[in-house]
Amino acid sequence: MLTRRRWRRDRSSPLVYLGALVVTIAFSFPLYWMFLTSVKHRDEVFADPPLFFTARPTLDPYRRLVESTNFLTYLSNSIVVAFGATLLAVSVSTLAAYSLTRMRFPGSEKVARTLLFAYTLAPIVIVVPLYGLFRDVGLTNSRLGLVLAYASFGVPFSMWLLRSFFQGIPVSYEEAAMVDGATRAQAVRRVVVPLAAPGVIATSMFTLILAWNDFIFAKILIADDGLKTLPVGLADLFNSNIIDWPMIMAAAVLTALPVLVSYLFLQRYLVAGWGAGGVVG
Amino acid sequence: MLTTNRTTTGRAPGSLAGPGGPAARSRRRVPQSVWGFLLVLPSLALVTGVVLYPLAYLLWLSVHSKLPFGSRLNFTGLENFQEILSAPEFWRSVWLSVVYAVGSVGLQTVLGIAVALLLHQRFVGRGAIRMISMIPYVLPTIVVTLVWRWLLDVNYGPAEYAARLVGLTDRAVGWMTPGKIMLTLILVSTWTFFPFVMISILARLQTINPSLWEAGMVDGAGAWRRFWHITLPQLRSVLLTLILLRIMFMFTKFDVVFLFAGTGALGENVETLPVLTYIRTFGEGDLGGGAVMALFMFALLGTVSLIYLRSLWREERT
Repeated sequence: MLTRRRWRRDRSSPLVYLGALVVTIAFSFPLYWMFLTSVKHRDEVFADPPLFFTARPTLDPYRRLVESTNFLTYLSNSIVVAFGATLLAVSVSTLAAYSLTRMRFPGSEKVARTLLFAYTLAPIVIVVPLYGLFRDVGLTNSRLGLVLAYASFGVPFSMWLLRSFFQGIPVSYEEAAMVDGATRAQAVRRVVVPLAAPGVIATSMFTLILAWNDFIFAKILIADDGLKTLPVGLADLFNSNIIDWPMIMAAAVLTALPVLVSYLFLQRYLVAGWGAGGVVG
Repeated sequence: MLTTNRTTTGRAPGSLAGPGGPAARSRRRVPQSVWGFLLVLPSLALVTGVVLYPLAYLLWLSVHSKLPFGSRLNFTGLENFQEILSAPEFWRSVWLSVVYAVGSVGLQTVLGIAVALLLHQRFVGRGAIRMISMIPYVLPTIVVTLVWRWLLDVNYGPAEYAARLVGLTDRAVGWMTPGKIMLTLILVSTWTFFPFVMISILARLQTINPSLWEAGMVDGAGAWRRFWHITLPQLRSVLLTLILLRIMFMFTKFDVVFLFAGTGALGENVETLPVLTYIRTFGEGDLGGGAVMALFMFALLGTVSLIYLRSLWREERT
């Protein structure tokens, strides 16, 4: 700590770098271990002491995963459900956010509050009655049911996030376009949409992650193995008789990859959303 | 923590639809207020159908007989409440939830402050570290729990190896044993959820005027005293909100707990309220009982979020 006293703007103490090193290891080693296990040779996986590299990399666990399990079915279900839910949630909440920042109607304040309140509810509270309701209308054991559940659960947060992005776009821009003869629809399309794009991307990311990562809704609403999404499918693989760790880790790698890649590419949008979204997560 | 840009907050652009505006050109226009409502309608319908209506149904379920879905349910009044509130397993799960929530939020807060302070310094590679430390937040819970179970494996996990190497213990630590599972769960949950706390604190740190620290340095205050007397008071309100909300969310967290240790022999040691609710409702088919526990969590969540949202709204209006 004493070194900190002489801390200058452009030079950092070794303590800072030590801390940085610890943080880096703590957050990247688990990912490294996951990947390493998934390409390790069978004999290396159960070595004692553990091997921190592999001399005989193999893709065999991935082959086993694809050939001997329903992984590809789970994957396609996850893709369909996550994209469906995102499309639905983001389009309806974009309309709502535009309305709530640009238009006034009796009770608009109440609507915004109700939506925001819904956003603080925990899935476990909702899923108990939702199962019964979906069962009555035939939405259990259906991907449409999952899409509706994720979209509805995503809407309050999406709406809240987009609302703050829309608030950042001065209304005067649209007014200027309309003074120049544009209709409202044109003004929205040419002025608001391009400016709101980062917000829409961030919101889509959040909804996609929510739907891709969810376990509880899929676990409760889906019974057919052919309709399960990745999280539930993976949990089943793990709970089945003998645990094939390299194969489980291969499944984990493939499940994490889409979110990791999009996170790396869209990081700055995500961080912007994080800042705008408040403290719920 | 809310970096809402307030350029247009709550102001309806009256001129857009005003008589002098371009809108006046076309006749028979749908009034702006109707449009405003129509645009909100799809969102409202989804949220009502899937979130708000189920809440009402939950209330109904809680006063009906304890049978699985699909049976004819009879009105039983407050019987379910009576039964649940006097069941020791209910209070045990409430206690476990409190331990889990307070323990993990405590750790998340301490770590969140520490790493936020670290990332507030200027150093080479800061951006990369910030990126890495936020990864757990986007990882699917199932991936987090599977990877950690493998890392902590008693026979082949590198965590046991590291503990032996450091000389912490000559026998196995046994992370996944009944006695340690709650602690392990708290540590893993902290790893997963701390980025959110960290990023919120970092955002607040960046708004603190640097001259405050400079003044402290001129006065000869050391790093620790500067933190204690300058930084911490500035973080106070953000920390209070964060801790309150995080405790509420960890209290009602289901997936990490269930996936990491909820099934099998260890389950009993981490049977928090959300897990017990799940088992009651879907395992034992006791709808009424499950509904009462879900309502209990709803009441808790609802109260805290109303307090929070109220302050948020007041802040936004000013």
